[in-house]
Amino acid sequence: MNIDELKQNWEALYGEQNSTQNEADIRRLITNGASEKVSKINRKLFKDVLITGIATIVSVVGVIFFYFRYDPVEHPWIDASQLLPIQLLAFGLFLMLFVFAYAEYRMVNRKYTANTLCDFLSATVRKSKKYYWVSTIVILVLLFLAFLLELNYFVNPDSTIELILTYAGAIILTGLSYVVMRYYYLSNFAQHFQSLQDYRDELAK
Amino acid sequence: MEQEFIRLIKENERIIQKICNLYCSEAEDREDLYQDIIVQLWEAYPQFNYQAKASTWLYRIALNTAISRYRKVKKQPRRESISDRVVGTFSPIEDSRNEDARLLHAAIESLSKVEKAITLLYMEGAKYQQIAEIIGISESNVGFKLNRIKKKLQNKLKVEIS
Repeated sequence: MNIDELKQNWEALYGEQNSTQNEADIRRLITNGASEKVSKINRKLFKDVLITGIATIVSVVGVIFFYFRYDPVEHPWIDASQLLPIQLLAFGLFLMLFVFAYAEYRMVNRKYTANTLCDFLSATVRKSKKYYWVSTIVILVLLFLAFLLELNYFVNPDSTIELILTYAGAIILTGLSYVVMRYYYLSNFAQHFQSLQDYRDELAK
Repeated sequence: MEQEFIRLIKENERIIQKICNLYCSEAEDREDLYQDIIVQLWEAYPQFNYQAKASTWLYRIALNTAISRYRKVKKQPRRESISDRVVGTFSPIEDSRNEDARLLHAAIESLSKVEKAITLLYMEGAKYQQIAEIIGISESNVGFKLNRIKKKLQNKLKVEIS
């Protein structure tokens, strides 16, 4: 059986008209700038981005306040050396959540208006990889610093062994954080990126 | 501008419907993709040059959207698919046509999203040059890929028939 002989079946299979949008529906869609499903997803994502964004800002303000403005003589009941690492840790975690929430928001609201399919796939894969690695490294550095400060407070390293233990602990905790981040990435984005890469490679063959 | 855009959509609605039917088997997904494509076309409309072929422009954006859009995979109970619907519309007299449609659908479903795009353009009568322009590959590569797709479809059809 030749494929070209099946053209009439092609029409029967894929040419059927579904419920089409009338003029008012199209007008509403282009005014909203998103489909009904995307609008619904956006409301949820916007809430996530907003909450994590505010939490990130609050934790940064906290770090700045206790680092530059706080007077330990005037307020001796606050132990800033303990508070700072916790705030840094909170900042790192909120930043991580914000980065993922924002990444998802961008993915759902992506513009597909690039010149060709090949160009679009290449640009998307390249930009996404860059976004993923830059944000991952920034978050991991922040978390490493926070863990190091926190462990420094508890261990109070005087000897070389204790210092090594503190660094090793910070590296292990940062590694665990990376595992969590990686799991989140794999369960949410990896499959999508992999298929985009596969399509790009398929076109390049 | 809005009125012109709506007119353009209405004139080319068949193309959008076919892409939705090809890439989504569920009615709800088809509706969602249809809306997504319209929104993306509207975003790109200010850059659209009327001297360019409207169908090329439309295919390009609609296929970009269908192939690359991001949605979290949700496991849902299977509902009516295209083949169920089309096969169901044939009368007993049209049994051979019914069977051909089922075979073609099964063969096309075995293709990747990119291969589906090339098949769609070929079946719609696009020239190699137009396909190359939309997908972003050379004309010779279009010919090569089409031959490979044809072979793949024929093999799949043989398996289905046997």
